[in-house]
Amino acid sequence: MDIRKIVFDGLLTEVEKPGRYIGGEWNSTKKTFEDTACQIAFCFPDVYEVGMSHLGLQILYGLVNETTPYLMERSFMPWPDMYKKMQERGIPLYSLESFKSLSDFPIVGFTLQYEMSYTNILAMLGLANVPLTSNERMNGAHPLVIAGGPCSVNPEPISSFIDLFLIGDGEQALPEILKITTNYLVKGKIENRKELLLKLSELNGVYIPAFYKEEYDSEGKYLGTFNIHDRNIKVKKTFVADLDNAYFPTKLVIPFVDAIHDRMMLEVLRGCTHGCRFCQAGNYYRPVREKSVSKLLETADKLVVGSGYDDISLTSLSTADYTGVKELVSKLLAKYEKGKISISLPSLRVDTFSVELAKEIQKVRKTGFTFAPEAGTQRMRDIINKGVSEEDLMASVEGAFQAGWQRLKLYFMIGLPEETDEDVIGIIELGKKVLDLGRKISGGKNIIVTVSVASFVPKPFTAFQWFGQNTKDELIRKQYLLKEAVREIGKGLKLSYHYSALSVLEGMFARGDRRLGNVLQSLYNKGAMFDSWDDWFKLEMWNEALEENAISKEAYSEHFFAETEPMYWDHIDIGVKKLYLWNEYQKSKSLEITRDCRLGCTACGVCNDEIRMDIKGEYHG
Amino acid sequence: MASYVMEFSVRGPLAYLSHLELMKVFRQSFRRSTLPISFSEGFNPHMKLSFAIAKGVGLESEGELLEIETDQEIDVGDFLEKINKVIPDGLKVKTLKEKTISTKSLSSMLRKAKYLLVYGDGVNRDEYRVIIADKLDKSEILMEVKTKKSIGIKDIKEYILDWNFTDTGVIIEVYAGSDKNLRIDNLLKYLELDLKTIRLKLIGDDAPIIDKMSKEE
Ligand code: SF4
Repeated sequence: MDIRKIVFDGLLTEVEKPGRYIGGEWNSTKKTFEDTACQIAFCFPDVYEVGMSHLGLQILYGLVNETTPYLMERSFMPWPDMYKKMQERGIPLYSLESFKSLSDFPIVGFTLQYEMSYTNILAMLGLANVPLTSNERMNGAHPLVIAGGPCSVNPEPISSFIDLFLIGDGEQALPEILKITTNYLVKGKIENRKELLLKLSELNGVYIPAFYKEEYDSEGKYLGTFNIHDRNIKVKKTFVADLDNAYFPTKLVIPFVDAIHDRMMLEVLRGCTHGCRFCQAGNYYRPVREKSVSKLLETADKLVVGSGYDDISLTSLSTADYTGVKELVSKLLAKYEKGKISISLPSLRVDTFSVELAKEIQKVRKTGFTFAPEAGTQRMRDIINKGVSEEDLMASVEGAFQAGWQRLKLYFMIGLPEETDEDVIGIIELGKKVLDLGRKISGGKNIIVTVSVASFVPKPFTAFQWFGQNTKDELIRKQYLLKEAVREIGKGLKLSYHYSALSVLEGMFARGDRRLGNVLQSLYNKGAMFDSWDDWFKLEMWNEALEENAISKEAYSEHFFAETEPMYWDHIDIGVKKLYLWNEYQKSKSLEITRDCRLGCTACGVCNDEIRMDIKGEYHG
Repeated sequence: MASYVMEFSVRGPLAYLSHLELMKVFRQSFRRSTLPISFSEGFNPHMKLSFAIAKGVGLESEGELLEIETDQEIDVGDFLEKINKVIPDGLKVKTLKEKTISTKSLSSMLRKAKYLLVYGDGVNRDEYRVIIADKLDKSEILMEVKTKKSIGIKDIKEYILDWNFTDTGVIIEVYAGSDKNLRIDNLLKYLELDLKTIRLKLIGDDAPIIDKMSKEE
């Protein structure tokens, strides 16, 4: 089937934003199947604009295509209008470079960024006629379906559909996987799949679900998931030890269609040392590894020349933490002001240092300012170990208002452990204080403070992994409390919150086990897709799928694990020790703070002889 | 400061870009080229670029026009080389002319457009020629046209200025621009044949706009 011909002969005039499906972007690879030994399709289980905003894609794409003899192409989840048309006309999901079906690739790789994208993964495999489960793929020349990214720390809910998970920094192991797979290809198809999997299982960071079995006792209680060859083998996360000298893409693929983040992304560091107890990324990406200012300047230069973008975003989990941030920002500004290139900082801490930084880069344009105090009361912030005091927040906010910002956004969470109604109302009270301060400083100008409140979802490998999520009704009740409190304040304070039914399902998957695979299969049969999009998420479909498989979502989301109870992700080792997390959980109950580990190691267990915190300058914590 | 008009082609998949996406491609390409394109003043400076007319999504073209302003005079050969090195495959800048008639915008000069309708693969050309001639020769060509609010009926016969057969299809000249405009996809809907459309030229009162950019010419 000549996919290219069918797509360009009419199909594209019938769908929204056809630019999503045409490929050919600047810097997209010119390598072909014919001149490479092994090929992988990087699949992002969301729409093009979201996927093309993902730095991880650009890193791996550049890494494979520029530095290895292999080929990486891209594929995204087609928007429902296109999906339907492709399904009707029997057009398989194809890659944007060579317009080949995913089923023609030896390897198909997904990134797991959020749990609610799992239904899209199945929908993508299905559209490409790749058998959905690893079992079905075991016989026959099917692609090896692999996955990585933050959600892979608890791979079990989606493990029936994935042959291999890559836990940790993908740069490390992916080229190895391609290399090994090459040896098992006959005419571009995998032969001797079992052998290949065995061989791949020797790599660091590789988890192959087929080699692990979950065990239950006679009463059906979960005992653990064990390696079938040697019970005690745990999968260890891989790291890039020297981030400064690691590959970083400078020839970004530039999307035609506006991406959500459509700019140069300059990763200044990886990891985070603050130790917020709810945060999975903070643990997953430990230890902190910084890049040097000189390397970053060099990279920025190449990015500017090669991309055509006019905005450099300094990305990381917390860019103000970067020890070279001041030097970097002032040098970038000096260098690129004339070329009308702006600098942006997507993630700021709640402190005056960050406000000063933001002031420096946004001399003229005053768009919104965002802070994340996460909780409304000091007690609650101590519980979650968010080292931010009300004074910090007020001082930062004051700085922002004084500098002329008029719109502020504050991020909070509800449903945290030990939360009382006072803590919930405290969010609005804090928002009100910020609003009042803004009005005072600006002399009553049109100040708008948006309070954005997420519902907390306990995640594996955090101090709160043992904690049972609030019930849906409880979340809704708390949202109502917020709403009432905001109403009393009136104009100037805006509130937004999440759809609770979605939060509960996210909670189910986050701390779920292998049995949830059946739910995903049922959802696929019903045609579920784009469940992270409110417009496409269909609650009834989910309830039916759960019912068909006799699964209670609450049994997962609301479950409190006991101290000694095995967890579904215990066979994965991300470095941070379980005991450390447990102690953090206990400390939270007694409002005990744990310091930022840049100020002194707190012994989380990640660092060792091979990998350690790597900071390039003096810390201004 | 100088003004120029460049003529470029859009072929293949890139024909599916929207007007705004095409604009973005040029903005980014000019940045990559390091050509001295002028920026507007103000808080939010942007490159001074303007198209003669938006191109329909899916339409290929051999003759789109883009007006640019530059900080200093540029050499045509140098320009073509630099820009063509950094634009994605499927776009090609063909010519550049200095615009010395400063009073008129490209869009206000636009009167007509010339299209080539190419026969699809495996089409019986003789048969097609007969059908097309027959359809275009009618004394009135009534079409349903969708406006924002309702559906109206319009006679598009007077919008078709000229047409001639070639070996591979038919070349048609129609009204284009703000006064009178025929959307070529409407004509295709009327013809109901397997034809692929390519826009060939954007034309002013008496000649292609690109040829009328400089007073001396
Ligand atoms: S081992 Fe110590 S220094 Fe390393 S990440 Fe953990 S707490 Fe920080």
